[in-house]
Amino acid sequence: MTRVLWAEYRRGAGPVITGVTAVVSLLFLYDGGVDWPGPWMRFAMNFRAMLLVVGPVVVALAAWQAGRDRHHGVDELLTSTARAPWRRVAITWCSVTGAAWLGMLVTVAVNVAVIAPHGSYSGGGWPWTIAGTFVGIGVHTALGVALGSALPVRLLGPALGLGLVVVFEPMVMSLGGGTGQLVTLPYFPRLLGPPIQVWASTQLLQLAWFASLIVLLLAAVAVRRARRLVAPTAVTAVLGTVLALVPVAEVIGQDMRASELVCVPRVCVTRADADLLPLVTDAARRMLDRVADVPGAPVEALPSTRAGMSLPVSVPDDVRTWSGRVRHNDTELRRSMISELLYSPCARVDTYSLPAVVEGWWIGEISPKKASQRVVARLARLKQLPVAEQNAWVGRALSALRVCHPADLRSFR
Amino acid sequence: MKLLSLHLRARGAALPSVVLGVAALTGWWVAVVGAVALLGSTLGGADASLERTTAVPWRWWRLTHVLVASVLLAPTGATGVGLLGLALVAAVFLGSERAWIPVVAYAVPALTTELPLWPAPEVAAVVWVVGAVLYSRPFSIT
Repeated sequence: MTRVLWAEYRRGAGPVITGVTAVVSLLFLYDGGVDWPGPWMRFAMNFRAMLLVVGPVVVALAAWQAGRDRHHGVDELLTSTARAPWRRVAITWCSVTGAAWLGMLVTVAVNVAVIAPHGSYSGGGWPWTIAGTFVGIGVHTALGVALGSALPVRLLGPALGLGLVVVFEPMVMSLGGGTGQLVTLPYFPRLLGPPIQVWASTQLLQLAWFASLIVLLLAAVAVRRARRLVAPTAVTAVLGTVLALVPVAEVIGQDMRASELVCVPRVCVTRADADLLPLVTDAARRMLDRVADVPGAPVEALPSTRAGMSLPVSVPDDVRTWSGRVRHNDTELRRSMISELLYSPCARVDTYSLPAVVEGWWIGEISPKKASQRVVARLARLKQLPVAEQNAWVGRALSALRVCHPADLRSFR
Repeated sequence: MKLLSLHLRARGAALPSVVLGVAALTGWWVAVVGAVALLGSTLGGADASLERTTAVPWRWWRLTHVLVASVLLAPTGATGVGLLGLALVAAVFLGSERAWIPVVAYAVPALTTELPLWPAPEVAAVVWVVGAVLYSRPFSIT
Protein backbone atom coordinates (compact mmCIF):
# COMPACT_ATOMS: atom_id res chain seq x y z
CA MET A 1 0.00 0.00 0.00
CA THR A 2 2.80 2.39 0.94
CA ARG A 3 4.59 1.60 -2.32
CA VAL A 4 1.45 2.32 -4.35
CA LEU A 5 0.87 5.59 -2.51
CA TRP A 6 4.48 6.65 -2.98
CA ALA A 7 4.29 5.88 -6.72
CA GLU A 8 1.01 7.80 -6.99
CA TYR A 9 2.56 10.72 -5.14
CA ARG A 10 5.69 10.87 -7.27
CA ARG A 11 3.99 10.34 -10.62
CA GLY A 12 1.05 12.64 -9.97
CA ALA A 13 0.51 16.18 -8.75
CA GLY A 14 1.92 15.36 -5.30
CA PRO A 15 5.23 17.25 -5.41
CA VAL A 16 3.52 20.31 -6.90
CA ILE A 17 0.81 20.25 -4.20
CA THR A 18 3.40 19.90 -1.43
CA GLY A 19 5.49 22.76 -2.79
CA VAL A 20 2.58 25.09 -3.41
CA THR A 21 1.02 24.39 -0.01
CA ALA A 22 4.26 24.91 1.89
CA VAL A 23 5.33 28.05 0.03
CA VAL A 24 1.92 29.70 -0.06
CA SER A 25 1.08 28.98 3.58
CA LEU A 26 4.46 30.30 4.72
CA LEU A 27 4.10 33.42 2.58
CA PHE A 28 0.55 33.87 3.85
CA LEU A 29 1.59 33.66 7.50
CA TYR A 30 4.67 35.85 7.05
CA ASP A 31 3.22 38.24 4.54
CA GLY A 32 5.43 41.30 4.69
CA GLY A 33 7.98 39.16 6.52
CA VAL A 34 7.86 41.19 9.73
CA ASP A 35 5.16 39.93 12.06
CA TRP A 36 5.61 37.32 14.72
CA PRO A 37 3.06 34.56 14.00
CA GLY A 38 2.23 33.86 17.67
CA PRO A 39 0.64 33.42 20.07
CA TRP A 40 -0.67 29.96 19.26
CA MET A 41 -4.28 30.90 18.59
CA ARG A 42 -3.38 33.70 16.19
CA PHE A 43 -1.14 31.30 14.28
CA ALA A 44 -3.94 28.69 14.24
CA MET A 45 -6.51 31.18 12.92
CA ASN A 46 -4.18 32.45 10.20
CA PHE A 47 -3.25 28.88 9.31
CA ARG A 48 -6.94 28.08 8.92
CA ALA A 49 -7.54 31.22 6.87
CA MET A 50 -4.78 30.04 4.55
CA LEU A 51 -7.22 27.40 3.22
CA LEU A 52 -9.01 30.14 1.34
CA VAL A 53 -5.88 30.74 -0.71
CA VAL A 54 -4.45 27.24 -0.99
CA GLY A 55 -7.80 25.43 -1.29
CA PRO A 56 -8.64 26.39 -4.90
CA VAL A 57 -5.18 25.37 -6.12
CA VAL A 58 -5.40 22.02 -4.32
CA VAL A 59 -8.89 21.37 -5.75
CA ALA A 60 -7.60 22.15 -9.25
CA LEU A 61 -4.64 19.80 -8.94
CA ALA A 62 -6.69 17.03 -7.31
CA ALA A 63 -9.21 17.22 -10.16
CA TRP A 64 -6.41 17.02 -12.70
CA GLN A 65 -4.86 14.00 -11.00
CA ALA A 66 -8.21 12.22 -10.74
CA GLY A 67 -8.79 12.73 -14.47
CA ARG A 68 -5.40 11.37 -15.53
CA ASP A 69 -6.66 7.85 -16.26
CA ARG A 70 -9.17 9.27 -18.68
CA HIS A 71 -6.60 11.65 -20.24
CA HIS A 72 -4.36 8.68 -20.92
CA GLY A 73 -7.23 6.58 -22.22
CA VAL A 74 -6.72 3.78 -19.70
CA ASP A 75 -9.84 4.19 -17.59
CA GLU A 76 -11.67 1.32 -19.30
CA LEU A 77 -8.61 -0.88 -18.99
CA LEU A 78 -8.37 -0.17 -15.27
CA THR A 79 -12.08 -0.90 -14.82
CA SER A 80 -11.43 -4.42 -16.07
CA THR A 81 -8.87 -5.13 -13.32
CA ALA A 82 -9.73 -6.99 -10.12
CA ARG A 83 -9.35 -3.89 -7.93
CA ALA A 84 -12.47 -2.35 -6.41
CA PRO A 85 -13.35 1.12 -7.83
CA TRP A 86 -13.20 2.72 -4.38
CA ARG A 87 -9.61 1.60 -4.04
CA ARG A 88 -8.41 3.69 -7.00
CA VAL A 89 -10.37 6.73 -5.82
CA ALA A 90 -9.13 6.29 -2.25
CA ILE A 91 -5.49 5.99 -3.34
CA THR A 92 -5.76 9.12 -5.48
CA TRP A 93 -7.36 11.00 -2.57
CA CYS A 94 -4.78 9.74 -0.08
CA SER A 95 -1.89 10.75 -2.31
CA VAL A 96 -3.10 14.31 -2.98
CA THR A 97 -4.24 14.81 0.61
CA GLY A 98 -0.96 13.44 1.94
CA ALA A 99 0.88 15.79 -0.43
CA ALA A 100 -1.03 18.78 0.94
CA TRP A 101 -0.46 17.62 4.52
CA LEU A 102 3.28 17.37 3.88
CA GLY A 103 3.34 20.99 2.75
CA MET A 104 1.23 22.08 5.71
CA LEU A 105 3.45 20.17 8.12
CA VAL A 106 6.41 22.18 6.87
CA THR A 107 4.56 25.36 7.82
CA VAL A 108 3.48 23.97 11.20
CA ALA A 109 7.04 22.85 11.96
CA VAL A 110 8.47 26.29 11.10
CA ASN A 111 5.90 28.04 13.26
CA VAL A 112 6.31 25.66 16.18
CA ALA A 113 10.05 26.36 16.05
CA VAL A 114 9.38 30.11 16.06
CA ILE A 115 6.57 30.28 18.63
CA ALA A 116 7.39 27.51 21.12
CA PRO A 117 10.61 29.01 22.57
CA HIS A 118 8.67 32.06 23.79
CA GLY A 119 6.31 30.07 25.99
CA SER A 120 3.31 31.82 24.42
CA TYR A 121 -0.25 31.75 25.70
CA SER A 122 -1.75 28.46 24.58
CA GLY A 123 -5.46 28.85 25.39
CA GLY A 124 -8.43 29.33 23.08
CA GLY A 125 -8.58 25.78 21.76
CA TRP A 126 -5.98 26.36 19.05
CA PRO A 127 -5.16 22.66 18.41
CA TRP A 128 -8.75 22.17 17.21
CA THR A 129 -8.32 24.90 14.66
CA ILE A 130 -5.13 23.29 13.36
CA ALA A 131 -6.81 19.87 13.22
CA GLY A 132 -9.74 21.42 11.34
CA THR A 133 -7.32 22.84 8.77
CA PHE A 134 -5.85 19.41 8.04
CA VAL A 135 -9.27 17.79 7.69
CA GLY A 136 -10.51 20.85 5.78
CA ILE A 137 -7.86 20.41 3.09
CA GLY A 138 -9.09 16.81 2.85
CA VAL A 139 -12.53 18.16 1.92
CA HIS A 140 -10.93 20.19 -0.85
CA THR A 141 -9.01 17.22 -2.24
CA ALA A 142 -12.13 15.02 -2.03
CA LEU A 143 -14.09 17.63 -3.99
CA GLY A 144 -11.36 17.78 -6.62
CA VAL A 145 -11.01 14.00 -6.86
CA ALA A 146 -14.78 13.48 -7.09
CA LEU A 147 -15.31 16.11 -9.78
CA GLY A 148 -12.18 15.11 -11.67
CA SER A 149 -13.32 11.48 -11.71
CA ALA A 150 -16.91 12.23 -12.62
CA LEU A 151 -16.71 15.00 -15.19
CA PRO A 152 -15.04 14.32 -18.53
CA VAL A 153 -14.26 17.98 -19.07
CA ARG A 154 -11.01 19.16 -20.57
CA LEU A 155 -9.19 21.63 -18.34
CA LEU A 156 -11.57 21.01 -15.45
CA GLY A 157 -8.74 21.72 -13.00
CA PRO A 158 -8.15 25.40 -13.74
CA ALA A 159 -11.89 25.98 -14.19
CA LEU A 160 -12.58 24.53 -10.73
CA GLY A 161 -9.72 26.42 -9.11
CA LEU A 162 -10.78 29.77 -10.48
CA GLY A 163 -14.45 29.01 -9.90
CA LEU A 164 -13.82 28.37 -6.21
CA VAL A 165 -11.98 31.67 -5.89
CA VAL A 166 -14.87 33.50 -7.53
CA VAL A 167 -17.54 31.76 -5.45
CA PHE A 168 -16.05 31.16 -2.03
CA GLU A 169 -13.84 34.14 -1.38
CA PRO A 170 -16.61 36.77 -1.64
CA MET A 171 -18.95 34.42 0.24
CA VAL A 172 -16.63 33.96 3.21
CA MET A 173 -15.73 37.63 3.32
CA SER A 174 -19.39 38.62 3.27
CA LEU A 175 -20.23 36.19 6.08
CA GLY A 176 -17.86 37.97 8.43
CA GLY A 177 -16.13 36.62 11.47
CA GLY A 178 -18.88 35.70 13.87
CA THR A 179 -21.48 34.14 11.61
CA GLY A 180 -22.69 30.66 12.45
CA GLN A 181 -22.99 29.53 8.81
CA LEU A 182 -19.24 29.87 8.58
CA VAL A 183 -18.79 26.75 10.66
CA THR A 184 -20.13 24.57 7.85
CA LEU A 185 -17.22 25.70 5.65
CA PRO A 186 -13.58 24.91 6.32
CA TYR A 187 -12.66 28.60 6.11
CA PHE A 188 -12.11 31.38 8.62
CA PRO A 189 -11.63 34.94 7.45
CA ARG A 190 -8.16 36.13 8.32
CA LEU A 191 -7.69 38.04 11.57
CA LEU A 192 -11.07 37.85 13.21
CA GLY A 193 -9.92 40.27 15.88
CA PRO A 194 -8.11 38.14 18.41
CA PRO A 195 -8.11 36.87 21.08
CA ILE A 196 -10.54 34.23 19.81
CA GLN A 197 -11.82 31.09 21.47
CA VAL A 198 -13.27 27.95 19.88
CA TRP A 199 -14.94 25.13 21.78
CA ALA A 200 -14.05 21.46 21.59
CA SER A 201 -17.66 20.25 21.22
CA THR A 202 -18.35 22.44 18.17
CA GLN A 203 -14.98 21.68 16.67
CA LEU A 204 -15.48 17.94 17.07
CA LEU A 205 -18.86 18.25 15.37
CA GLN A 206 -17.20 20.23 12.58
CA LEU A 207 -14.49 17.60 12.15
CA ALA A 208 -17.15 14.89 11.95
CA TRP A 209 -19.03 16.93 9.32
CA PHE A 210 -15.87 17.36 7.24
CA ALA A 211 -15.09 13.63 7.52
CA SER A 212 -18.62 12.69 6.44
CA LEU A 213 -18.36 15.10 3.48
CA ILE A 214 -15.11 13.44 2.40
CA VAL A 215 -16.66 9.96 2.59
CA LEU A 216 -19.76 11.10 0.70
CA LEU A 217 -17.80 12.81 -2.09
CA LEU A 218 -15.52 9.82 -2.62
CA ALA A 219 -18.37 7.31 -2.35
CA ALA A 220 -20.36 9.26 -4.93
CA VAL A 221 -17.82 8.38 -7.62
CA ALA A 222 -16.65 5.01 -6.26
CA VAL A 223 -19.78 2.98 -5.49
CA ARG A 224 -21.65 1.25 -8.29
CA ARG A 225 -25.04 1.05 -6.62
CA ALA A 226 -26.85 4.21 -5.64
CA ARG A 227 -28.37 2.64 -2.53
CA ARG A 228 -24.92 2.48 -0.97
CA LEU A 229 -24.93 6.26 -0.94
CA VAL A 230 -27.96 6.45 1.34
CA ALA A 231 -26.11 6.01 4.63
CA PRO A 232 -23.28 8.52 3.97
CA THR A 233 -25.80 11.02 2.58
CA ALA A 234 -28.01 10.71 5.66
CA VAL A 235 -25.09 11.06 8.08
CA THR A 236 -23.75 14.10 6.20
CA ALA A 237 -27.17 15.74 6.10
CA VAL A 238 -27.78 15.21 9.82
CA LEU A 239 -24.32 16.46 10.83
CA GLY A 240 -24.58 19.48 8.52
CA THR A 241 -28.01 20.42 9.86
CA VAL A 242 -26.94 20.08 13.49
CA LEU A 243 -23.81 22.10 12.82
CA ALA A 244 -25.66 24.90 11.03
CA LEU A 245 -28.06 25.19 13.98
CA VAL A 246 -25.31 25.64 16.56
CA PRO A 247 -25.66 29.13 18.08
CA VAL A 248 -23.03 31.61 16.96
CA ALA A 249 -21.80 32.06 20.54
CA GLU A 250 -20.86 28.39 20.70
CA VAL A 251 -18.94 28.48 17.45
CA ILE A 252 -16.47 31.24 18.02
CA GLY A 253 -16.14 33.87 20.71
CA GLN A 254 -13.82 36.16 22.53
CA ASP A 255 -11.26 34.52 24.77
CA MET A 256 -11.80 36.50 27.97
CA ARG A 257 -8.94 34.76 29.76
CA ALA A 258 -6.54 35.85 27.03
CA SER A 259 -7.66 39.46 27.51
CA GLU A 260 -6.97 39.49 31.25
CA LEU A 261 -4.06 41.62 32.39
CA VAL A 262 -0.82 40.08 33.58
CA CYS A 263 1.24 42.56 35.57
CA VAL A 264 4.54 43.19 37.23
CA PRO A 265 4.69 46.41 39.30
CA ARG A 266 3.60 49.36 37.08
CA VAL A 267 3.67 47.35 33.81
CA CYS A 268 0.87 45.16 32.43
CA VAL A 269 0.22 43.22 29.22
CA THR A 270 -2.63 40.92 28.23
CA ARG A 271 -2.30 37.23 29.05
CA ALA A 272 -2.12 36.50 25.30
CA ASP A 273 1.04 38.63 25.13
CA ALA A 274 2.43 37.63 28.53
CA ASP A 275 5.70 36.49 27.00
CA LEU A 276 6.25 40.10 25.92
CA LEU A 277 6.53 41.27 29.52
CA PRO A 278 10.24 40.52 30.10
CA LEU A 279 11.08 42.19 26.80
CA VAL A 280 9.39 45.53 27.54
CA THR A 281 9.33 45.95 31.32
CA ASP A 282 12.67 47.68 31.66
CA ALA A 283 11.96 50.19 28.89
CA ALA A 284 8.45 50.87 30.19
CA ARG A 285 9.69 51.53 33.73
CA ARG A 286 12.35 53.92 32.49
CA MET A 287 9.66 55.82 30.61
CA LEU A 288 7.53 56.02 33.75
CA ASP A 289 10.51 57.05 35.92
CA ARG A 290 11.25 59.95 33.55
CA VAL A 291 7.84 61.50 34.22
CA ALA A 292 7.55 60.46 37.88
CA ASP A 293 7.58 64.12 39.00
CA VAL A 294 5.40 65.42 36.17
CA PRO A 295 1.93 66.33 37.45
CA GLY A 296 -0.82 64.26 35.79
CA ALA A 297 1.67 62.07 33.91
CA PRO A 298 1.04 58.33 33.41
CA VAL A 299 1.94 56.09 36.34
CA GLU A 300 1.53 52.72 34.66
CA ALA A 301 2.07 50.99 31.33
CA LEU A 302 -0.86 49.09 29.86
CA PRO A 303 -1.50 47.26 26.56
CA SER A 304 -2.31 49.70 23.79
CA THR A 305 -5.75 48.15 23.39
CA ARG A 306 -6.55 49.00 27.04
CA ALA A 307 -5.29 52.57 26.96
CA GLY A 308 -8.78 54.09 26.88
CA MET A 309 -9.08 57.52 28.41
CA SER A 310 -6.48 56.99 31.12
CA LEU A 311 -3.72 57.41 28.53
CA PRO A 312 -1.00 55.36 30.13
CA VAL A 313 2.31 54.52 28.57
CA SER A 314 1.25 51.76 26.21
CA VAL A 315 2.84 48.43 25.38
CA PRO A 316 2.21 47.81 21.68
CA ASP A 317 1.61 44.18 20.70
CA ASP A 318 3.31 44.52 17.31
CA VAL A 319 6.86 45.17 18.43
CA ARG A 320 8.25 41.78 17.50
CA THR A 321 10.06 40.56 14.40
CA TRP A 322 9.05 37.30 12.73
CA SER A 323 11.29 35.41 15.15
CA GLY A 324 9.74 36.96 18.25
CA ARG A 325 12.59 39.33 19.15
CA VAL A 326 11.86 43.00 19.79
CA ARG A 327 11.94 44.72 16.44
CA HIS A 328 13.04 48.13 17.64
CA ASN A 329 16.17 49.34 19.33
CA ASP A 330 15.70 50.76 22.82
CA THR A 331 14.93 54.30 21.64
CA GLU A 332 12.39 53.18 19.04
CA LEU A 333 10.72 50.86 21.53
CA ARG A 334 10.32 53.66 24.06
CA ARG A 335 9.08 55.99 21.31
CA SER A 336 6.44 53.44 20.30
CA MET A 337 5.23 53.33 23.91
CA ILE A 338 4.25 57.00 23.95
CA SER A 339 3.27 57.59 20.33
CA GLU A 340 -0.36 56.74 21.05
CA LEU A 341 -0.40 58.95 24.12
CA LEU A 342 1.07 61.94 22.30
CA TYR A 343 -0.20 61.69 18.75
CA SER A 344 -3.55 59.86 18.73
CA PRO A 345 -5.91 62.16 20.68
CA CYS A 346 -5.20 65.26 18.58
CA ALA A 347 -4.55 63.56 15.28
CA ARG A 348 -6.76 66.03 13.37
CA VAL A 349 -5.95 69.20 15.25
CA ASP A 350 -3.02 71.55 14.76
CA THR A 351 -0.82 70.79 17.76
CA TYR A 352 1.97 73.22 16.85
CA SER A 353 4.64 70.44 17.01
CA LEU A 354 3.87 70.00 20.71
CA PRO A 355 3.94 66.14 20.64
CA ALA A 356 7.38 66.14 18.99
CA VAL A 357 8.79 68.49 21.65
CA VAL A 358 7.33 66.41 24.52
CA GLU A 359 8.58 63.22 22.87
CA GLY A 360 12.07 64.69 22.51
CA TRP A 361 12.10 65.72 26.19
CA TRP A 362 10.76 62.31 27.33
CA ILE A 363 12.99 60.08 25.19
CA GLY A 364 16.06 62.30 25.33
CA GLU A 365 16.37 62.76 21.59
CA ILE A 366 14.15 63.91 18.72
CA SER A 367 13.12 61.52 16.00
CA PRO A 368 14.97 62.45 12.78
CA LYS A 369 11.62 62.57 10.95
CA LYS A 370 10.30 65.22 13.32
CA ALA A 371 13.48 67.18 13.95
CA SER A 372 12.45 70.47 12.37
CA GLN A 373 14.30 73.64 13.29
CA ARG A 374 11.30 74.81 15.29
CA VAL A 375 11.09 71.58 17.33
CA VAL A 376 14.82 71.55 18.05
CA ALA A 377 14.75 75.19 19.19
CA ARG A 378 11.71 74.69 21.42
CA LEU A 379 13.21 71.59 23.02
CA ALA A 380 16.48 73.44 23.67
CA ARG A 381 14.55 76.27 25.36
CA LEU A 382 12.61 73.75 27.46
CA LYS A 383 15.76 72.04 28.65
CA GLN A 384 17.24 75.38 29.77
CA LEU A 385 14.43 75.79 32.31
CA PRO A 386 14.84 74.57 35.93
CA VAL A 387 13.78 70.92 36.34
CA ALA A 388 10.65 71.78 38.31
CA GLU A 389 9.52 74.17 35.57
CA GLN A 390 10.27 71.58 32.88
CA ASN A 391 8.06 69.06 34.73
CA ALA A 392 5.27 71.61 35.12
CA TRP A 393 5.44 72.55 31.41
CA VAL A 394 5.36 68.89 30.30
CA GLY A 395 2.45 68.24 32.69
CA ARG A 396 0.47 71.09 31.13
CA ALA A 397 1.39 69.90 27.63
CA LEU A 398 0.22 66.34 28.36
CA SER A 399 -3.01 67.71 29.79
CA ALA A 400 -3.59 69.86 26.70
CA LEU A 401 -2.87 66.93 24.37
CA ARG A 402 -5.25 64.73 26.36
CA VAL A 403 -8.14 67.22 26.24
CA CYS A 404 -7.17 68.34 22.77
CA HIS A 405 -8.84 71.72 23.03
CA PRO A 406 -7.57 74.08 20.29
CA ALA A 407 -7.39 77.05 22.65
CA ASP A 408 -5.18 75.16 25.12
CA LEU A 409 -2.94 73.93 22.33
CA ARG A 410 -2.65 77.43 20.86
CA SER A 411 -1.11 78.64 24.13
CA PHE A 412 1.89 76.37 23.39
CA ARG A 413 2.43 77.91 19.97
CA MET B 1 -6.36 30.27 -44.57
CA LYS B 2 -7.45 26.67 -44.49
CA LEU B 3 -4.17 25.72 -42.85
CA LEU B 4 -4.68 28.43 -40.21
CA SER B 5 -8.21 27.23 -39.56
CA LEU B 6 -6.97 23.65 -39.23
CA HIS B 7 -4.20 24.77 -36.88
CA LEU B 8 -6.63 26.58 -34.59
CA ARG B 9 -8.99 23.60 -34.57
CA ALA B 10 -6.15 21.18 -33.86
CA ARG B 11 -5.05 23.31 -30.94
CA GLY B 12 -8.59 23.66 -29.53
CA ALA B 13 -8.32 27.43 -29.66
CA ALA B 14 -12.03 28.33 -29.77
CA LEU B 15 -12.76 28.45 -26.04
CA PRO B 16 -9.43 30.07 -25.11
CA SER B 17 -10.11 32.75 -27.74
CA VAL B 18 -13.49 33.58 -26.21
CA VAL B 19 -12.08 33.77 -22.66
CA LEU B 20 -9.15 35.77 -24.01
CA GLY B 21 -11.59 38.25 -25.52
CA VAL B 22 -13.45 38.57 -22.22
CA ALA B 23 -10.15 39.06 -20.37
CA ALA B 24 -8.96 41.70 -22.83
CA LEU B 25 -12.26 43.58 -22.67
CA THR B 26 -12.87 43.43 -18.93
CA GLY B 27 -9.37 43.11 -17.49
CA TRP B 28 -10.97 41.01 -14.72
CA TRP B 29 -8.09 39.06 -13.19
CA VAL B 30 -10.00 35.77 -12.97
CA ALA B 31 -10.66 36.00 -16.72
CA VAL B 32 -7.02 36.83 -17.38
CA VAL B 33 -5.75 33.84 -15.37
CA GLY B 34 -8.41 31.62 -16.94
CA ALA B 35 -7.50 32.79 -20.44
CA VAL B 36 -3.81 32.11 -19.93
CA ALA B 37 -4.51 28.72 -18.32
CA LEU B 38 -6.63 27.78 -21.33
CA LEU B 39 -4.03 29.20 -23.72
CA GLY B 40 -1.53 26.81 -22.16
CA SER B 41 -3.38 23.86 -23.62
CA THR B 42 -3.21 25.38 -27.11
CA LEU B 43 0.57 25.43 -27.06
CA GLY B 44 0.85 21.83 -28.19
CA GLY B 45 -1.05 19.37 -30.33
CA ALA B 46 -2.91 16.24 -29.32
CA ASP B 47 -0.12 14.01 -30.61
CA ALA B 48 3.34 15.51 -30.45
CA SER B 49 5.16 12.67 -32.19
CA LEU B 50 2.73 12.74 -35.10
CA GLU B 51 3.18 16.48 -35.54
CA ARG B 52 6.95 16.06 -35.45
CA THR B 53 6.82 13.89 -38.57
CA THR B 54 5.07 16.57 -40.65
CA ALA B 55 6.95 18.87 -42.99
CA VAL B 56 5.75 22.07 -41.29
CA PRO B 57 8.03 24.88 -40.07
CA TRP B 58 6.79 24.56 -36.49
CA ARG B 59 9.19 27.13 -35.16
CA TRP B 60 7.46 29.93 -37.12
CA TRP B 61 4.02 28.58 -36.37
CA ARG B 62 4.79 28.56 -32.65
CA LEU B 63 6.33 32.03 -32.74
CA THR B 64 3.29 33.39 -34.59
CA HIS B 65 0.98 31.61 -32.12
CA VAL B 66 2.77 33.28 -29.19
CA LEU B 67 2.83 36.71 -30.81
CA VAL B 68 -0.87 36.65 -31.66
CA ALA B 69 -1.74 35.52 -28.13
CA SER B 70 0.51 38.23 -26.68
CA VAL B 71 -1.06 40.95 -28.79
CA LEU B 72 -4.53 39.82 -27.70
CA LEU B 73 -3.40 39.75 -24.06
CA ALA B 74 -1.64 43.12 -24.27
CA PRO B 75 -4.66 45.10 -22.94
CA THR B 76 -4.37 43.18 -19.64
CA GLY B 77 -0.90 44.61 -19.12
CA ALA B 78 1.98 42.97 -17.29
CA THR B 79 -0.33 40.54 -15.48
CA GLY B 80 -1.44 38.73 -18.62
CA VAL B 81 1.81 38.97 -20.55
CA GLY B 82 3.88 37.68 -17.62
CA LEU B 83 1.48 34.81 -17.02
CA LEU B 84 1.67 33.90 -20.70
CA GLY B 85 5.45 33.76 -20.34
CA LEU B 86 5.00 31.44 -17.36
CA ALA B 87 2.67 29.22 -19.40
CA LEU B 88 5.22 29.10 -22.24
CA VAL B 89 8.01 28.03 -19.89
CA ALA B 90 5.70 25.43 -18.32
CA ALA B 91 4.67 24.13 -21.74
CA VAL B 92 8.31 23.50 -22.60
CA PHE B 93 9.17 21.70 -19.36
CA LEU B 94 5.87 20.07 -18.34
CA GLY B 95 4.03 19.77 -21.64
CA SER B 96 1.15 21.83 -22.95
CA GLU B 97 -1.50 19.82 -21.07
CA ARG B 98 0.09 20.80 -17.76
CA ALA B 99 1.03 24.35 -18.67
CA TRP B 100 -1.90 25.67 -16.64
CA ILE B 101 -0.54 24.24 -13.37
CA PRO B 102 2.16 26.86 -12.65
CA VAL B 103 -0.15 29.60 -13.90
CA VAL B 104 -2.94 28.71 -11.46
CA ALA B 105 -0.59 27.74 -8.63
CA TYR B 106 1.23 31.08 -8.93
CA ALA B 107 -1.59 33.47 -9.78
CA VAL B 108 -4.44 32.33 -7.54
CA PRO B 109 -2.64 32.66 -4.16
CA ALA B 110 -1.01 35.93 -5.18
CA LEU B 111 -4.19 37.52 -6.41
CA THR B 112 -6.48 36.28 -3.62
CA THR B 113 -4.11 37.82 -1.08
CA GLU B 114 -4.07 40.98 -3.22
CA LEU B 115 -0.32 40.84 -3.63
CA PRO B 116 1.10 42.20 -6.91
CA LEU B 117 1.61 39.36 -9.35
CA TRP B 118 4.92 40.76 -10.58
CA PRO B 119 7.29 42.96 -8.58
CA ALA B 120 7.69 45.18 -11.67
CA PRO B 121 6.41 45.12 -15.29
CA GLU B 122 9.99 44.48 -16.40
CA VAL B 123 9.97 41.14 -14.55
CA ALA B 124 6.83 40.11 -16.41
CA ALA B 125 8.49 41.14 -19.69
CA VAL B 126 11.60 39.08 -18.89
CA VAL B 127 9.46 36.01 -18.07
CA TRP B 128 7.62 36.46 -21.37
CA VAL B 129 10.87 36.77 -23.37
CA VAL B 130 12.35 33.69 -21.69
CA GLY B 131 9.16 31.75 -22.35
CA ALA B 132 8.89 32.87 -25.97
CA VAL B 133 12.55 32.02 -26.70
CA LEU B 134 12.33 28.58 -25.06
CA TYR B 135 9.02 27.76 -26.70
CA SER B 136 10.10 28.86 -30.16
CA ARG B 137 13.18 26.65 -30.25
CA PRO B 138 13.01 23.88 -32.87
CA PHE B 139 11.15 20.90 -31.43
CA SER B 140 10.68 22.45 -28.01
CA ILE B 141 7.36 20.67 -27.86
CA THR B 142 6.60 19.14 -31.23
